[in-house]
Amino acid sequence: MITKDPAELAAFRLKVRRFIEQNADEEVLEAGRKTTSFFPPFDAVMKWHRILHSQGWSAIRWPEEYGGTGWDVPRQLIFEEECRRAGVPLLLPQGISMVGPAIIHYGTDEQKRRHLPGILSGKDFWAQGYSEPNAGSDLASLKCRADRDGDHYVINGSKTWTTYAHHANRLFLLVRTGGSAGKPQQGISFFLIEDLTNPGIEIRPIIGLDGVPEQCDVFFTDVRVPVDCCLGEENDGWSVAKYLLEHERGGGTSFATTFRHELALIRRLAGRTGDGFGGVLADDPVFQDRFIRLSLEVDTLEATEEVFADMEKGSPQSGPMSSMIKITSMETLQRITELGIDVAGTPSLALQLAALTVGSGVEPIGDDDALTLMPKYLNNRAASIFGGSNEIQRNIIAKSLLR
Amino acid sequence: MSTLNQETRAMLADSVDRFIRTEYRFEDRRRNLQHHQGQSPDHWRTFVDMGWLGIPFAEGQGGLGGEISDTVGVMKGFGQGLVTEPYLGVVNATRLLALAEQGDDRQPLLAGVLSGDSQVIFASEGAQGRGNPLAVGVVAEPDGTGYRLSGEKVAVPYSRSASHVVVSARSNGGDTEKMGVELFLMPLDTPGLEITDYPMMDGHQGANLTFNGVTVSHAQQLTEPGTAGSLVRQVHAEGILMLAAEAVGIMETLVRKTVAYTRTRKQFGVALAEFQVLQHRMADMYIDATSVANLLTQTATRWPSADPEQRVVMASKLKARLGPAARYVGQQAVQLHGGIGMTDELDIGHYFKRLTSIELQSGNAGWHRKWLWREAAA
Repeated sequence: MITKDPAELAAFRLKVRRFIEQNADEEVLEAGRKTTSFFPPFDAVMKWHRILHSQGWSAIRWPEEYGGTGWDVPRQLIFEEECRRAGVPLLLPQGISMVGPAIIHYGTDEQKRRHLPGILSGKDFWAQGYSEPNAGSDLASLKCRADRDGDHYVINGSKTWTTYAHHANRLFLLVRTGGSAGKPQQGISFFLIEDLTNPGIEIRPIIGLDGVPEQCDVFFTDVRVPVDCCLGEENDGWSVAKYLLEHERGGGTSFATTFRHELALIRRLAGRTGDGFGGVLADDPVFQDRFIRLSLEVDTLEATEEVFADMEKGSPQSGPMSSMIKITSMETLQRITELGIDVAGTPSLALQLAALTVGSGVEPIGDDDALTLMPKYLNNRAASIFGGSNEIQRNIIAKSLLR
Repeated sequence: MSTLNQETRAMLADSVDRFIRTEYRFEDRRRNLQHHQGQSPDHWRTFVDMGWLGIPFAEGQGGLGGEISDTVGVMKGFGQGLVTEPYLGVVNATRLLALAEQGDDRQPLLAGVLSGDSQVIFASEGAQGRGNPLAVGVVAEPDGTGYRLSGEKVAVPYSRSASHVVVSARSNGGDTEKMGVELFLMPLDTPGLEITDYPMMDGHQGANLTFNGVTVSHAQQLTEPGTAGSLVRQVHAEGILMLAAEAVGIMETLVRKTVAYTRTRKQFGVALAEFQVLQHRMADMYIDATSVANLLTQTATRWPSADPEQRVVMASKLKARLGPAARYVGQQAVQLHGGIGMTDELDIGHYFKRLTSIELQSGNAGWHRKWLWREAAA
């Protein structure tokens, strides 16, 4: 059931706008302004998560029976548009958009009862343990092992690029439980780890190009977990991971809305930045051409997102289409961040970690709107690497074309 | 001045190479950033003693008597080693002193810099100037026998040991006019001069300088009134030549390291280097890096016999061509390394960041293309 009545949608929009205006405090808005990657500043975004939960709005795509809003697509999009308009940070995806839907789909009643409320409320933050030092694009070659010992598994190995693991109290994990016979995808299980205080788990933050720790290495030494931590069937974790990836890729947040706001910020900045010849950069035809090209890329991405939203997941077209969204959205984003540093110019070279920290009270050097542009450019070089590199996504599309 | 002979140049390049390999390894660099903000007094002493600082200065002034094009080998080495010492900024500023016609403090400071006892920096880029050396961002209003300076300089290559700064300012004319530009030499603790210094994302030190009605006398002026435009443009072009050499050193290093990495990194049971799409990517990186290296060689060879106007055009072409190459090579080096290329721990990301910084400095490629169309396309 899709709402088409404009008056009804307008009323809904107003309600969302009012709520955000009345509930997003300065800390939350500052976190929105200072978000430089897919992962907003942790404390503030979790605070906003809990505020949304108090209104029942933390999971806009979950079914109502699990505590979601049950909104149709037009309402979801309006909600996201209003969030971008107000400048609040987007919720961290690992719980609400990734492991949550997987638990709803594959979880036992007990697992749902145990995990969904904490994800919904923001009490728990889940990190994703997929990649390993030698299993990146080739994820199925992962080596982290879990051996059965009575009612427990014993985990040994390591994970890397585990975003915000240093903030997490929960972890979802791909581990090898089966033998090495057959395809590498077989024998992988999907675990839900509840206790990260286990002394066998070591979490080590990795400093990124932007100078801040966002990713982590996670090491497991003889970590015992109960057998019922397995989501889905033992050795069938690959199916769960694939389902979840579809949610990560295009099934979640609308990139187009976010990107439009980024372009608007850059355009604003170009309007008050000199062109080095006595004029204003926004009047430069080369800037204008790049800007419009990128706007068109965003419009097209939105069209693709709409088509994908109506597509049956798991159909022959949906795989390549989700790869296409991954490629086009991330490359558009990278080009937008390039335009950002080209407009900001040398003033964006100052490293301003303190000014970028929420609540620091440190004034930025230079234009406020330029503060985030270099960190965004640097951080988003990862956008064509993570979630299955763009080379892998192109392989998927080519394979389906040549089938 | 004439160029150094082949033997001297080879000797200088060798000495830089040895320095990078023995005293400026990646771990040394990291420690230097932690303890000296990337600017070590000991290293500076080495730069002076090895003659690197003196390359483009007359022997009578305490230099080696070479041309700026003789610094290309040193700068390539500094690119390979990701050297963060303030060499480029100090050389640019000192060249202004050496080429200037007047100014009371000029000679003693020049001697002090070349002996390694003092340092001077050049504040060139105006807040809205985008690297146009004539869009100076500071206004010089006549005031009694001197001037009052107001305005802002951004992203000044900063040395924490510098005592003086050379400042370009405008007494007359618009952002693209050669006439009406002045150059002043002043101590960094001049009243009314506000300095905000900061580390830059590439490990170098930068500063913004704000002039709140700073009073300067005629004795601090380095050229006849209104005539500094040519000198400012010439030194800007020299800075570009040096930056381009550094960028070439970095790009060649990234091509080499990326090729080596893809031979060892295995995914899907084979080395990354086996994938044709990645082979082609590396071939394109090589083409870009080598194209700019060749253009640099040609530019450096022609430099000594070129007139000042030709040098400005050659430098602009070099910077315009360098921009997209630096961006492509840097981005693809990170991409082909994958996640590890995104980390602070590996050198790849630091090369990428320095290339990004070079791209934006002294006018980005877009600015230079536009300038070439306006000034040199005819």
